[in-house]
Amino acid sequence: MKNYTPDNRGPILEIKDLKVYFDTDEGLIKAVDGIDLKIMKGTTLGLVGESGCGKSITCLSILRLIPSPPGIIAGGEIIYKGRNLLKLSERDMEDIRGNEISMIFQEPMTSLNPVFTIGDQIKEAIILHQKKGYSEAQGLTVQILDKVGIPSPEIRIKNYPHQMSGGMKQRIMIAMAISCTPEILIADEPTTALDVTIQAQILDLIQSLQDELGMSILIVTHNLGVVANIATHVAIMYASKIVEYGSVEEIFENPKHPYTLGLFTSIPIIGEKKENLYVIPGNVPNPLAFPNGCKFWPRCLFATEICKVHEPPIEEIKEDHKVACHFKLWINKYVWKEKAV
Amino acid sequence: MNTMNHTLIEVKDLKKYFPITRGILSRVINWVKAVDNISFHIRSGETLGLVGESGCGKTTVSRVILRLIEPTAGDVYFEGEDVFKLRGDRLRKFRKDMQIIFQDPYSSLNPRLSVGSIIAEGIGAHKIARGKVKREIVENLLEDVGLSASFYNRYPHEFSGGQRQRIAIARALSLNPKLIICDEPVSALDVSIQAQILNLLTKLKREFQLSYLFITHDLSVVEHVSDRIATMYMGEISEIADTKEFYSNPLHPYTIALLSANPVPDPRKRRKGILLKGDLPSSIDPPPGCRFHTRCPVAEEKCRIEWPVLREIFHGHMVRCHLV
Repeated sequence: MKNYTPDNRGPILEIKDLKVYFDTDEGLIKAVDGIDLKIMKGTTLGLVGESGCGKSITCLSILRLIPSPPGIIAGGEIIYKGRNLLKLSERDMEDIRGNEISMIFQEPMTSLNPVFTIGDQIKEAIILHQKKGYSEAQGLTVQILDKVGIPSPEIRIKNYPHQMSGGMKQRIMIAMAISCTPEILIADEPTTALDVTIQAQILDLIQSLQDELGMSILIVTHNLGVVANIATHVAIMYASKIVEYGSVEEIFENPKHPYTLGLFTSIPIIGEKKENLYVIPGNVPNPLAFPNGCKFWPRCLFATEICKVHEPPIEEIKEDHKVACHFKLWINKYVWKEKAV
Repeated sequence: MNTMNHTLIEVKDLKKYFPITRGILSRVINWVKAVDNISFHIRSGETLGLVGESGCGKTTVSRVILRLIEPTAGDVYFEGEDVFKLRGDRLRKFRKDMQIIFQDPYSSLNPRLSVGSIIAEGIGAHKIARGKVKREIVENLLEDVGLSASFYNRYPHEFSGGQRQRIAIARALSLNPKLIICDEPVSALDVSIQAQILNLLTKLKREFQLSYLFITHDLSVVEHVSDRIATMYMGEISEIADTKEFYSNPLHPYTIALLSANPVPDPRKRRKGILLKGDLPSSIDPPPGCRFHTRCPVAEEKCRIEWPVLREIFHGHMVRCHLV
């Protein structure tokens, strides 16, 4: 489906050593603690992880939507077209937000304003960013609604969100996000609240819009099926860190980090029915009291003394594949199988 | 007595219509046909998976079977007894035999009750045990579901989603039921927690000789847990078959579409199947003929006019489609 050759056009967005902390009454929560990510032009990066690992916070910091206080961007850079987004003035950021970088949220039901028609909500961004007049914006809105597959858009433009189904609302959210033909689309769990058949429609829509507009996409999800279907690259996040990164083929074919391996073996797969699913032992650590050393060691089958003391940096093991594990060179799915089964 | 494989529950031509009313006299102007002529059975020790999109009526089916809402028409027989005719003591006994686990463990546990009281509530209501004995039963249940007995006096807010779902499971087990209805029990949970809960349900099924009606929209989960699977579309069953048969030889176009829409976690097997167009039509005025024809990729003239019946194609494999 994709005909982009990844990597040859350079990164459109580069996150370097980003740190986002929250100063709460109970203590300092390190939600994102020194992550590096690159989104190549025209490609799709899937950010995978469980609730609370910091994936949504990463997205929000790109758009500088972290509420402060209690949020603090404690360090790092987010480079977009040669500029550090974290250093921009609020005025400059407004020009980027919704215009060059836009976002789709998880729950289409709650992220639309119930008291405005959907037409008004889409027009708002067009009038603001593209400096169009009302009637011109109206025409563009109809075109965009048509593009995202809303039937009879001239009529639907006057509808309120409650008059639409969940799938339709998500299409509206997408319409809003692409209304200014952004360079980067951030999609935070865009299909989690939807049915499978609607999910398939929405993923196809996102993909065809990407082919048409040449956007780069950052998609956050916990569904490995969705990632395998839509992403060109994957980053696996665990407890505020990226633990593994690579091309989607490489990560699914040759996963290295014990957490990635655990995730992959814990999901039921059609046609591979087994009596028991693999369960990653223990629980996600409390963000107020992350373990020393590698954050995954208390749950890891391969942990040794060094893991408890020294946090492994994320390092390249071959082109387009990075792993944060002391034993990255010899852990693989075969070694894993022997140990886990 | 042969306890395995006898029919535990049989649902016959079950209907549930909800009235739509208007005006101060609440005149009934129309009906939502949430469940329309559903028939199936579950054998003892078996898991029946019920799959369908939101709004297809799968949750309504479970509520009617439990007698949480009254049916419009139809019968449900539980171990040969007509459930809708039960009154008084017999009804109380029946309620013990059938329990439910809900989707969202954040809203299904009373935040003002301790974990112990939540699980013990049914035991007290059915006068099974009191005092120390009751506490002992609850502590055992907590351990059965993989929690610690010391959680007895703690409150739901202290627990994570997965742990809460375990509490809900312990509550469902407390009355020693024969059938547990699992209404999307893992949909709200993270991947790694989902595996824990699915394994727990498998283990408990064996230990307590349970049967499950497992409602979900996730086709990979349902394959993992079910012996047989039924798909529902707009209040009707469109296909029902053994799990193996269901995945190897799906016949109804809706089943095929659902299977092809399910994203497989393998980048080499990217989805390129049929895409169902549009949303579910309104169940107030279901389309004439086959209810699926408005979205069906292979619909013919006949499908628009004539309503298909559920026919048995092979042994135990039933399909509602003219074209099969």
